[in-house]
Amino acid sequence: MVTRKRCALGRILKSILFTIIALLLFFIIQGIFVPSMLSEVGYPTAVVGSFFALNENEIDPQVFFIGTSHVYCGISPMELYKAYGIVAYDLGTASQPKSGSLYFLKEIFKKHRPKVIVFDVSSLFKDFSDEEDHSYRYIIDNVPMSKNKLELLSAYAESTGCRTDISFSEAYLSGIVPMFQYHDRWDQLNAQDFDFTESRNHFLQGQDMRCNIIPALFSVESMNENAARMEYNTAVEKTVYTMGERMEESTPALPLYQAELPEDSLELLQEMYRICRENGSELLLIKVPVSSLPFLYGSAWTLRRSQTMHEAAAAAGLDFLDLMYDVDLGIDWDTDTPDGGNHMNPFGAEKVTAYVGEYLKTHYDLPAQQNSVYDSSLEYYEKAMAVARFQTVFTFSEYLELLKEHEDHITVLMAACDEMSTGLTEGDVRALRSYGLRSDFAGMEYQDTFIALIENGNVVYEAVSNREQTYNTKLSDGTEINMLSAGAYCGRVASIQLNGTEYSRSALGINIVVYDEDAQMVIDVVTFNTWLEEHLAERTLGPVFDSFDYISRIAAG
Amino acid sequence: MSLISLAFALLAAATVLLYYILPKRCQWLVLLLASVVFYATYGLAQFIPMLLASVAAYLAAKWMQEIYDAEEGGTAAERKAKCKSNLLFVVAVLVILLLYAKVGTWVIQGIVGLLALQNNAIRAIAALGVSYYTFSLISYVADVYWRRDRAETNYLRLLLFVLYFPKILQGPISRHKNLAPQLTQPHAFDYREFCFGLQLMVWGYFKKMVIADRLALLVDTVFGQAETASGSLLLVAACLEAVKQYCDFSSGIDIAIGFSQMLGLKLETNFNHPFFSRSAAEFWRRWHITLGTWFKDYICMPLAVSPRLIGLSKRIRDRFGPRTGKAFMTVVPTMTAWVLTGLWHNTGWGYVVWGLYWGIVIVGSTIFAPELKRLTTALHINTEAGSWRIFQMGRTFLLFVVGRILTVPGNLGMSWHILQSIVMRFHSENLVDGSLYTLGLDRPNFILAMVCIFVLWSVSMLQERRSVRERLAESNIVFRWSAYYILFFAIIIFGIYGPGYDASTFAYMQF
Repeated sequence: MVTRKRCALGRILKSILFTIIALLLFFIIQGIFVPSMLSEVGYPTAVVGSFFALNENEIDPQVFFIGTSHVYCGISPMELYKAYGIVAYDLGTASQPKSGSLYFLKEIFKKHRPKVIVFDVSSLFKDFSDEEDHSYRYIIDNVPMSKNKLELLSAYAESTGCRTDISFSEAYLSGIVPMFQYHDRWDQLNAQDFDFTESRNHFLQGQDMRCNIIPALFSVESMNENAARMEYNTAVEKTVYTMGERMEESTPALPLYQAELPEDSLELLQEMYRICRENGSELLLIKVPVSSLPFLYGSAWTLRRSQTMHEAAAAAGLDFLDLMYDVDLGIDWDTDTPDGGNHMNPFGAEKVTAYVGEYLKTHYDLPAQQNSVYDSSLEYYEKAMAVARFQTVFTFSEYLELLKEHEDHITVLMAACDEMSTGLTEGDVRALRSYGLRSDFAGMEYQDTFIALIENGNVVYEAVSNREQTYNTKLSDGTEINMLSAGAYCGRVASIQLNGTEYSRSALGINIVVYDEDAQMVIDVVTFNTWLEEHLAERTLGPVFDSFDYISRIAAG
Repeated sequence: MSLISLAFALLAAATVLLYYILPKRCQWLVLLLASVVFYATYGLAQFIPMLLASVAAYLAAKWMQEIYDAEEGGTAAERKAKCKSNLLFVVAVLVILLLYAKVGTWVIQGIVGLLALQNNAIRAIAALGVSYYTFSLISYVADVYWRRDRAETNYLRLLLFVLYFPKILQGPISRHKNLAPQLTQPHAFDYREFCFGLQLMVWGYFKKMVIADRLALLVDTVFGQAETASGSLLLVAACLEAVKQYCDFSSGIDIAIGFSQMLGLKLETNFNHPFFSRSAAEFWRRWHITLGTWFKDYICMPLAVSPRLIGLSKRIRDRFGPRTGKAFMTVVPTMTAWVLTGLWHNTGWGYVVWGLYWGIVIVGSTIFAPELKRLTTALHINTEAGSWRIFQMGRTFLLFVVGRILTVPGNLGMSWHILQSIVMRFHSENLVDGSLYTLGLDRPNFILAMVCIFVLWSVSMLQERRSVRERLAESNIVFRWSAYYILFFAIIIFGIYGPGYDASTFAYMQF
């Protein structure tokens, strides 16, 4: 009898152990399969998780920013801290749905008591979650289970049911068990998915620094004109033939560009206002500048929307600060945007944040605070900003000066492609000399090749030749370097490889790759077409310098 | 409610829990309740034909039993004669019901068309699982008639036999005398049986979700483009379709048998590694076994012992010789059974031709067995050699593939076109130029499918010798648990499921 009981107990324990191991394995595997990068916008998902990792005893922000990508690109918490001592946190997420904003608002007050909640109103007019899955998935895949999350899941499942043939229960289940959604990623997994060491400590406190520059494609005036035309188009004319008889009818349709506030947006504002008031916080509505054609980008911020928002805010008794039309921030649409006017880059964010900081200080009486976590983050932020500024320098001589300024932590690799001497000015030659290069640039022949390697300001190698030339070496940190410069008759190529990876743009003129030794990563790739007299910096359109990666690397030491 | 759904998982878990928690005398009521809930999820209208069939069979069997059990009522032969009309009547009711379910919508819509009515939406009431439960009920009343079984005295118990939810959708076609007593007997929890049952269910899910549904993506795409696809791609798709069909059907059976085993019930085996068969006859003894034995017991055997047929056979033997007379006795029952088997699967000429095809193959191999033996002897073929066995298995598999081509495209013209393409427009370059990976399965998924088929083949090889579950149970805990986890996570990761994917349809559910 006793033996049978023991046997039964043993089986029960074994079954429990089997189940526990299965669950553990399941959660580990699920962690691998849930994407660690929001591929649609190239944004690491650990950022939203970092909010939940905040220790309220160490960081209790005075201000939270919520809203779409306009917030996390346009507001810099570290700038706010640096200039005003305001401890703030960006809780913006890509195409944040309205229900997502409400979710974050409720989650904020679980642990924190901020004085001000700042909400960017973009999603009130254009909620991308009506069209896209990732705006919800980005949040629900990376936040812990809670009652608020279940409410968000309901909104997600409802939204999914409206735009796809996926049922409510399927969508809801996929939110609770993300493996249900992502299991078929098995053939797309990469090393990043297996990296469990990825830091949840986001040093920029929610900001996304997109450090490249793509000037706005259209002016603010063009944007408003385009919106007016799209808004006018509110009817669909149909011609129907019934039994050969021509029937015409005109049916009302939603305008192609919506400048009116939908009813649920007003309800959301009232709900947000109620929650803030109950928790002793103020709600400030803002709009980060955007300049793009409504035809191309539904979140283009036009005067009509601005007017509508002002009226709605006034009716609800809320403060609304339109940073696009109410004030002149000095935004330069040629240099302050990373994507043709849709968002702010860190240089645009500096300007936006400076004004918002002043406004918060003046209107909400926020005392300057000292926070050790922010102090240490500030160091990384400033380093990242300094490196990001490489993108803002366009003339050859200024660029060489900048390289000299940073010589203590960078290695510069130069290789000429095809022809680099025709357009070199005396000033350029002086700048090259000043940078430490001793080659006879003034005496260079047409289509001579050139290679140079400058490590920590010391010229390790430089050579001019009338033949194809190569240079292979290893940097002091072990990075393997392979360089090649060739003229028109031997391939028209400039190759700069680090550990076997090609970085050079291989474009006509001098190709430069800047390698940061502290972060052990390439921080800029640029070409100066010195075949021409006018040779401003040319860069690829996509970002070369990834601020997340850079800061993680320098923080890791 | 699909067997691959959260709802089914919850129903199954609740059933198991209540089955073992409640007093043993309530176990059959738990199963009945779960079965009613399961069936009701497909619509209450489904109950009408099912109740009609089960009530008719219940009353007929009960009446026959009363005649047999009565102390007075004549000799055994007289009593049997009394019951015969009753049997024929109820069988007719069940067959009409089956026909109604198979062709009812066509007939109704034909009448609607003839009367020039506008309502094309009129349809016959669907009767889910009708092919299975009518056959089970026919075997039940026939067995009572032949006194091989006793009639149920409690209708609800017969209802449970008919409606038992793991098997109602796609079999196996259970016999009342095998299953009904088990359903009503009390069962104590048996850890080993419970684990074995769960393992079989998981294996069934692996076959369905990882192999069958993955192969279906390619097969459906290729057959969807059958008019333009090259012969090589059609041949690959047809071969994979055969594997898919096996995985799909046998997985549903594994889930049904596995779940029953967890409850201490033993359902009939329906598959025994059919692709290892060396002849067509053997194949059908290993594929859908319960259907084959049903036709053997209730069509072939009654025909074979029919006095009229025996008389006719004698006359043929006297006139054309003993071999012809013997052949006649083989041809008539076999061909009848095979044409009916075709029609059981579906209506339409494709299935008649399919039935004739298998009938001819099996009858031909039986009648001409002596000639085939002489041929192999003359060619000095060692029929015991492994290579000959492999050839025979390959030949049987190809026969099955051709059979599938007759029915899968949906019309005989397209089937003929596919067979022609395989012979006339083979284009073998399509097998290596990457075309294969553009037809619903990309390269990684295609390779995965092949790996999984290899795993299936390996497991089947092991099972031919001895139960894999028993082997596993005897192995050390690390190996055993690792095998369970690998299988479980293979389904989680490689299974074809998720938002937007409809995994609800098993191929044999439509019967």
